[in-house]
Amino acid sequence: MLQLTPERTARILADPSFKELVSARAKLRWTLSAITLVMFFGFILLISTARGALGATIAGSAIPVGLGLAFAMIVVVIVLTGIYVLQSNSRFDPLTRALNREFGR
Amino acid sequence: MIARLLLAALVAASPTLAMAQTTAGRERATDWIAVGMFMLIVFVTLIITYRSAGSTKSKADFYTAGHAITPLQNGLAIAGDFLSAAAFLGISALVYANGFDGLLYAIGFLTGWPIVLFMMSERMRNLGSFTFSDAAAFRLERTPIRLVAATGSLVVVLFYLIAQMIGAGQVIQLLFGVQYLVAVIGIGALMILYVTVGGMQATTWVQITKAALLLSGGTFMALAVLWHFDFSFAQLFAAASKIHPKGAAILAPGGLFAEPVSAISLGLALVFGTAGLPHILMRFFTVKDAAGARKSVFYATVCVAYFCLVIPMLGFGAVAVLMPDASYFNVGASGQFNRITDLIGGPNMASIHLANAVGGPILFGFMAAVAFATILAVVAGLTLAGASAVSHDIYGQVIARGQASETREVWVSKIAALAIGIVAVLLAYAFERQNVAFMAGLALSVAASCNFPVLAMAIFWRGTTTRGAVVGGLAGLVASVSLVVLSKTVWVALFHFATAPFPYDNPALFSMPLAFLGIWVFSVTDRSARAVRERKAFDAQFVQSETGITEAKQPGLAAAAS
Repeated sequence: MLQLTPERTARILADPSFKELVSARAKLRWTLSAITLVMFFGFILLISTARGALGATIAGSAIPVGLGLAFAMIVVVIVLTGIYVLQSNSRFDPLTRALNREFGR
Repeated sequence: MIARLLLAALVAASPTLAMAQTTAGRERATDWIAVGMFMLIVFVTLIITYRSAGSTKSKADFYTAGHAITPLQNGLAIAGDFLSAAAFLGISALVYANGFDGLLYAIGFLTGWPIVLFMMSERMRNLGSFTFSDAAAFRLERTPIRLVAATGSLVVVLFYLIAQMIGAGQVIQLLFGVQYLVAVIGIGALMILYVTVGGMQATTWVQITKAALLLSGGTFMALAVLWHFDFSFAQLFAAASKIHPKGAAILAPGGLFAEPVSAISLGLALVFGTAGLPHILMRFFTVKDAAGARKSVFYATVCVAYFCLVIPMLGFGAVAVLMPDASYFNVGASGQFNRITDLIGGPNMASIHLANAVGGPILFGFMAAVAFATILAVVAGLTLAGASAVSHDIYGQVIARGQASETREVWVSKIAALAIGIVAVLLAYAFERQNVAFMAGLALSVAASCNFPVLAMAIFWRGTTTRGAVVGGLAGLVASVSLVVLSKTVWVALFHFATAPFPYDNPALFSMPLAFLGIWVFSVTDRSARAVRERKAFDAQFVQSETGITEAKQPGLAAAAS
């Protein structure tokens, strides 16, 4: 595949909307990734350290804490991916389209 | 010619051939409703293949269905590709046997998806056209990077494929009463046919059909279970923990993640392995642009997450419904039976028996056929990914140096699919009686320790050079394979040594950091002119990966340009 010429690369790199797109998306990407990983590996550590506590039932119901947390994590995963997709659709796609109009061929 | 091939496969896969030959009571009596549904599914997939054959001519058609799949279709196909029989029958069996721990496994499978979405999908789509090696080799030297990536892909595909085929052969043997070898050859013939005749188009539609069947069948069964317990989770859990041999312990974490090193190692393989599976990464190229890739991963994540909610219902439901009923178990002469291991056909059959219990023979037949469709969709996707690693990466880019004609590359791909299919059938036959639990784990560990580090470092870190990527990728590949061989599952279970030198089941915690370290060390110390050139080329790659803007006019690649 042909790569962009150094001149066009430099022009796009210097473009303010490109900078905005890249920094905003990087921030969102790494924040959401960090939340996902901390949540999952935190849960694993919690299981290996505080197993007993997770077996106790949530006050006022028959559902154990661990089971409740596990189902909550499934919902959180959908919410996090949803945030990324909504942000991308509403903020990043228009910027990408504008950049493509200006610099694309 | 094609019609004759289709007919031959139909005969080969037909359970009626070997139906009379049952051996030593290991196989069930034939269930005509199940066989009817099975024939219907095979028939539908063959129609799909036949119709796809006409539109699969160019390279782009064959590998990526002409980049013309919509995000929703692709999302369903990704879910269909990912939710294997191991996920459907295996995880519900884990929940059946261990309760909560099975759910943890499902969550591990799910957690890979947000990572794929945030880090991989869009950049991959903007940088590549056919396989993930396109993105990895974008600014690095073609030959060595393609060889490493293709080797990683083939190792992953073959181990995953063999694990799936063996499981599939055993499941089909139980469901339809055919012999193991006939079952394995039938699956092999069908998957070769889908891939060689219909390419990505047929594979995609087989996966979509399967995803729709699996999700609707699973939903229906979960509703039936909940209806049985007045739509009260509390009643379901109470009934399950009352009858299960482990009692209320099934509602709390058990042994699976009790030991932190093994737990984190398995977690890493599940999460980052998903982001390095070649047959999943390949699916991003079937949509027209990066926005489409992102949306399809979102749809796939929702499907997988939904499935993670449904599966425990089936597992706990099977505990509550099947365990009180002795007719689902192999009851010994003394009238005693183990409520987990003595389930007819083993715990893997828990959800299939549950279908019979809540929906009678019709639902049983339907779910058995769904399990079969599940297997077909996954093995077809794997075969296509393996074939494209051979034809696009090794033949097209390395041997022919990008000069091969499209017709010739597609032709090589079909030969490769045939060869991979035959090798998989032979190995599945050879390993029938072996404990192959390590194979799926090994495939994920290699994906997490070779494919993922090379790809992630190539697209995210400016400093990556060819030398670093090759050394690190090979180190991860060799380390993960040898640590699995030295672990209990192979060293003790397969080679019958007394103790295993490597004390953990999963190598990812060690092999994955080793790969990253290797890439880093051998990149920063690389002072060659090539390394300087490659670091300089990062800017152009970065711009293209973020925006989809390319130098050559390639309408399919312009991100969100329409």
